[in-house]
Amino acid sequence: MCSVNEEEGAEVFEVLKPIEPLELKCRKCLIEDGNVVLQKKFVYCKTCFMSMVTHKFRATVGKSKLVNRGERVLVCVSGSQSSVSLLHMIWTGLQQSTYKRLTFDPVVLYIDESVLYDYPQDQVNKIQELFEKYGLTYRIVKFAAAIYSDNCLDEDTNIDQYNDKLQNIFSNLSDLTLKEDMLMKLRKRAITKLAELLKCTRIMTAENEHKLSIRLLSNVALGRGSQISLDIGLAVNNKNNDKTSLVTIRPMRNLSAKEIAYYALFNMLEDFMHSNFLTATSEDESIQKTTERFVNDLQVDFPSTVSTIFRTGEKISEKTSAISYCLLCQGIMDVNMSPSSAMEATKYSKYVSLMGVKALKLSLNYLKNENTNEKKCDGCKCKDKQDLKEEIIESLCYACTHIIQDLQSLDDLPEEILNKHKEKLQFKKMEEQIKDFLL
Amino acid sequence: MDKVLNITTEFTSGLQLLFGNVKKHKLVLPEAEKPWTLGLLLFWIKDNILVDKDKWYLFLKGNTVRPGIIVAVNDQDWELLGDLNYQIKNNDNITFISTLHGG
Ligand SMILES: [Zn+2]
Ligand SMILES: [Zn+2]
Repeated sequence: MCSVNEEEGAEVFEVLKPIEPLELKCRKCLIEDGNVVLQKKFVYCKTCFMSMVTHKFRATVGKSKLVNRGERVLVCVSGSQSSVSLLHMIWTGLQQSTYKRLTFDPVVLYIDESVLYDYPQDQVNKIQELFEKYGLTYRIVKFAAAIYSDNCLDEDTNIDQYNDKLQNIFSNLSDLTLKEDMLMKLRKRAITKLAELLKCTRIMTAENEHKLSIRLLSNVALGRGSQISLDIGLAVNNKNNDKTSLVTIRPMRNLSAKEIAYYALFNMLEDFMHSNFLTATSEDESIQKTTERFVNDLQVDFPSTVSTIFRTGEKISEKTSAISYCLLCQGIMDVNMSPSSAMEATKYSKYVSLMGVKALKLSLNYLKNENTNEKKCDGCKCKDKQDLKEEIIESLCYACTHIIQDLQSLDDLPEEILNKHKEKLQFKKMEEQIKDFLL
Repeated sequence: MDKVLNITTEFTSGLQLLFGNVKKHKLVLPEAEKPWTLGLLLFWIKDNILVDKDKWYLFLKGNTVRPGIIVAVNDQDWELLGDLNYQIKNNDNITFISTLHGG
């Protein structure tokens, strides 16, 4: 990075601009003409580029023997360029002879999110054609089915109803940042559920270095700092589930967006529309897009921006002391914090805005003499709903409370969340009741 | 007749959204006084084939492509070809790849 020394600062900036014309020959074989420039200085020919990228991918997969021979691995293909490249890399690895061959058992998954966006009508069919061409085991599941249905691997007759529920959730969120955050969390939920149903013990997703560094910075801005390692790590164990040890692996995490773009170009891989709520939105409407612009703009003059962010993020490791997981995102919850922390402050201000002046009066009364303890707005249901919201918020991480606060109605949340919440509540009650007997 | 240029442009990885969901475009660049460069082509694309005109800023920034968009001519990085100053040749295949997330 640039030095802080004021007088030298300007010079440091200038040195970073390329002054010499680029070497046109490949830096590896020194024979072929270059095709790709990485980090504004490393020139590769097609052949050397391909073997370098493949090597990086294989090194990441091979690291510390993450996948066993014959193990079922859910390969998540969204249709994005990264994901079709991942599929191609895995397929190529499976074709190789002898000791270089990949030996796990892939199950390719496409989650059809078309109910949420305007996709070309034939997109699902095209994806199916692609999967058929590779000849691997595959599944195509509708997003809403994966969220709401118990038997989402079969055709569900209630799919229209589920689609409505899913659309409702997002139309009930007014803030674009939260909408996108919710989408990410629901995707993760769907993938985890499907992995279990398909008896996969490993999940592979296609996020590249670029995407992960943007996620890293967005996470910090969203208040998901403690969940960073879960969201960007190479191999993340889903400790939330005791029965299976479900590990998410990100084999593309050491590849840059540019490396993947050229991998797809050289292999003539077709990619598909993979939208989210920020697709073609302007950059100052959401935290995530603002972060993306910030990173991309920096990257223009400082080609090592992404890898610097990324390597810094890797050093952050999760606190092993955490034992509490968020009901919505399954991320780590900060529970052991001092009352004066930012989280408590926000909680209090949210509480006040949620309950209105009543809350303030109530808490003032409480301070005064604790005698007016029963003052409810009886008759209307708003109180119950407000109660449910507050109760659920108890079981959520800091960032997810924002989503639920913004959500107009809780009716369309996946049932597991509402049920688990009831369980938790029951457990708490029971604890209350028997606490006198415990010594 | 010889003075016009026949080229192909491709917009992938979400960029096609700005071009009526069509990835591949065969273009005929009209005869011009100055030689056709990539720099000129960008604005010609903006004026002539961009469908979602209001969202041109998702394609261009200043006089070049928006950061995060990769440009290749016949599978070769435009950084090796002089970026905006590259002189377009007949039958060139020019690819624009978005690395922005979700397009
Ligand atoms: Zn070479
Ligand atoms: Zn959460």
